[in-house]
Amino acid sequence: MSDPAPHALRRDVSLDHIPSSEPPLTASRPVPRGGGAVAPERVARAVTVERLNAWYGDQHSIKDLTLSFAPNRATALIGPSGSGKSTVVRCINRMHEEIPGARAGGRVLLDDVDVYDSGVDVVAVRRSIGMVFQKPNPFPTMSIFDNVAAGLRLTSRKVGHDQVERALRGAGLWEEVKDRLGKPGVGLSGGQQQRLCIARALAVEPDVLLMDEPASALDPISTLKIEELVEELKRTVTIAIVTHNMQQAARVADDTAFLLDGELVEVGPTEKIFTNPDDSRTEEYVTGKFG
Amino acid sequence: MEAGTLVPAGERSSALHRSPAARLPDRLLKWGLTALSVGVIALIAYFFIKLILESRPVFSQVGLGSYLFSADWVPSKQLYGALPLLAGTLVTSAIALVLGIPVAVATALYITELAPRRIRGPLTVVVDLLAAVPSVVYGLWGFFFLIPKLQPAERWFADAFSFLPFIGGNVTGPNYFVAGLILAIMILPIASAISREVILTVPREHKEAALALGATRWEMIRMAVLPYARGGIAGGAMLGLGRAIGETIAVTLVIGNAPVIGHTVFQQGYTLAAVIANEFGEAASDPLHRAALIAAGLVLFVLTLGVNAVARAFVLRAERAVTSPAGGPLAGAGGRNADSRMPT
Amino acid sequence: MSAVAFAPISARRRRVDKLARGGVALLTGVALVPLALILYYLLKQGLGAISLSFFTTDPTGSFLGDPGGIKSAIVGTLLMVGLATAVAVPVGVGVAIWLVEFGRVSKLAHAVRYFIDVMTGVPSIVFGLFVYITLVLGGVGGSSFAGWKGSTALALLMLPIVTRSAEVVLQLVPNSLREAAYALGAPRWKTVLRVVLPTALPGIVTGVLLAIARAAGETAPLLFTAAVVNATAFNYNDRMNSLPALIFQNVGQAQDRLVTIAWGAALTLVAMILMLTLLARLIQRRSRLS
Repeated sequence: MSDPAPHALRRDVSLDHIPSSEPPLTASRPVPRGGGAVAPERVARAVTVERLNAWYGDQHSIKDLTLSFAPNRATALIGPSGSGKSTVVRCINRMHEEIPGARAGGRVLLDDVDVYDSGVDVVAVRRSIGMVFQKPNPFPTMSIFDNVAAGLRLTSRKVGHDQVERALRGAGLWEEVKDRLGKPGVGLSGGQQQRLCIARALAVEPDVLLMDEPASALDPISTLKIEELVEELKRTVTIAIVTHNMQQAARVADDTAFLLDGELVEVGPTEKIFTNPDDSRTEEYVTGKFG
Repeated sequence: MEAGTLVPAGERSSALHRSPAARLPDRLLKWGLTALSVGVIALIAYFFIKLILESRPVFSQVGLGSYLFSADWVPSKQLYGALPLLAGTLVTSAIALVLGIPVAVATALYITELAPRRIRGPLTVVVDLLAAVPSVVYGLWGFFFLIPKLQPAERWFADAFSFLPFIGGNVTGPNYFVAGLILAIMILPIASAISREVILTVPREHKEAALALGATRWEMIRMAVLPYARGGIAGGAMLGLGRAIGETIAVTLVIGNAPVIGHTVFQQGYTLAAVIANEFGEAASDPLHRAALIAAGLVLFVLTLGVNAVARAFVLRAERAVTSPAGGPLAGAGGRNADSRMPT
Repeated sequence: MSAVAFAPISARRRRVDKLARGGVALLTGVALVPLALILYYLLKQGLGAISLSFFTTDPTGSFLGDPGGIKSAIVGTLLMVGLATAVAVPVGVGVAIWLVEFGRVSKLAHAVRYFIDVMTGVPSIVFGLFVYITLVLGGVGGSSFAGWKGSTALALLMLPIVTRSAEVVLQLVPNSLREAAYALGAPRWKTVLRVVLPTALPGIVTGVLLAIARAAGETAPLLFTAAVVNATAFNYNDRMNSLPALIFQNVGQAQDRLVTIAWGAALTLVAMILMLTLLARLIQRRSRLS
């Protein structure tokens, strides 16, 4: 197992004063508590993007990009608007091709299986690679329970209450909604809705969780809760998180990749990217000279 | 816009107050148009009242309850029980809904979600073309083509499934089923157009959420599209129902116009609208008969008012961000393509 | 790390997906069948009746011998729909202008919109009844059945269609245009007439054409307002023939030649309506107001 990244840049802010109505997430799962190290509970898979190209019609949006996402770690993608961060992530679970006129080429390996291989079923890919979107999008006609169960119901008729509970705990939402599982999902606050969407994605036990600016539509407190979550989620999934907020990347990610105009400029441990990057463009971006 | 003639030179440099004479055309326009609009309301109200008044003779003779619920419609004997007419109206409309709405929703789903992009436009035009065929032509075609061609199949069906209620027994040429089938075809375009409008309003993010969970295309439609659109689709179905209830000419040509309540769907019947069209000639000289027909018109009016009110409630609730009234002549034109936004 | 392939989705799900999508496509195909059949039969049965004399002779009404043509029906339809349009369009557009420019969201406007909506749901035969009760029974104008009374029924039918579509288009005219005119000092009525209406014109024309197409095909309102007659009438106060009424009259006839007349008339009517509809869509496509 690789070393967890140093926590030097994270969490200058103490979160103790923010009331958390739920017991520590570790209570329900017996996990050895090391000092700062995150021991994986379940070995997730690595994602390797190899020479990815993506187009929107004629517009060549991602150019020959190669990037790895280490298992049980969080990798952030940062870069100015239009640099292709979301596109890369959407190519990983093959959502990119759902846009009319869009196409992608190259390889995306989950461990050593290429998701773009002709023998692979795109539906199966999306089951193993979950996604959380920028704007919380719980299904408006479903209750909280049904929202979480939605993915599970695709494959089995009966969905156990315990499965839903597990997913909601994993998203840090259980205590807040356990008494109103039958209420509509859209009745929750924005931050809660996003955690509901995370629970929904977790319920099908994916290996990878793609998060496309998951907190950009949320208030600061909800944002911090989501960031806390990322730390916990690393135990079970590999995380790729797109963010335009550099401080967020610094807080949650083990590794950070900087994209510019559809190309990967630099990738490395988060601390290095933010304090001592190799490429001058990276330095200019993280010091705020542009973007 | 020629500013020169829009605001003549003299007016531009005049004082800030316009003379009463200059304001007159504005006032005329406003009050003229207001009067016109109020006049429309008054007209409809007037017609409604007149309908009631002219049908009173038959209600005083027969009584409202008896008119609606007695099963004997024999004008020659001054018997006016409209139950067969009501039954026929409801049965044919029900058949129209059962046959027509699933097909309408299917076409809407196919056009918006499943069809290759290139054929979506032409397909929409073709489906909407069904609305361009006038009802008398539907009746003509139904009379000469549908009735004879369907009879053998109807006979086989009636024999094979005679254990089902309302099936089995004698099969006449013109019957409820053919009328219901033609009505189904006639309500198809409007139900499809409204369903299309509503399905297009399903936000892309819900569809993406379903796909990202690992849903097949059909599962995505079931999870994200249909639940969201069902209110509007129901509204479209109700509008179709309203149309089916009031349809006259096509029905009267294929239903047999027998003032009885048929025992099976393959037997002849009558509807409220058909009886008016058919018996008007005879009723010219018989005031009571005339009143009975006008009363049938009144019942028809009230029925369609009710159904359309329910339909409106459904459609309005589902309309949200849509600006053009669903079902109007411009519905379906320039359909929004919510998929063309790109992520950053 | 093991080369774990993705758990393939179950055969059942694949099957359901294929079946469902196939079913939807199939039903869509089913929806197209009636149209194809109708057009086929119209052409097959109706083309035989078409000739120059078909359009230029009146129906004779005789059961034996020459059944004649459909001249009076065409003339009657043109005259009656024409008059109906001449009435329905100004009134309909007027109401629409009032709704968009003056009434807007007031309670009265709400009521007017509601009544117009009600009118769209009224069956056409009930409009015929309205006119029958108020105009025919009373013998208004000195006659019982008359062409202009048929026009009245058609105008009632067309009114909500014209108003609805005109209202939509007028609302699409950007407010900035109106404001520009006001800023120049133009009075309300000039703004409406010279700025708003011309901009909205293509959309209004589209709505009008579609209303005309609808009115041309209506039978029920004419049955007891204009009645059916064989001779060509140019006097609106006389009974007038119409294409739909002629078709209706001939359907039940046993004579093959009369039936052929009906098909020929139906083909003519559908051709007229299709042309109007296509013209309307063309105008709509060429004007992009939104």
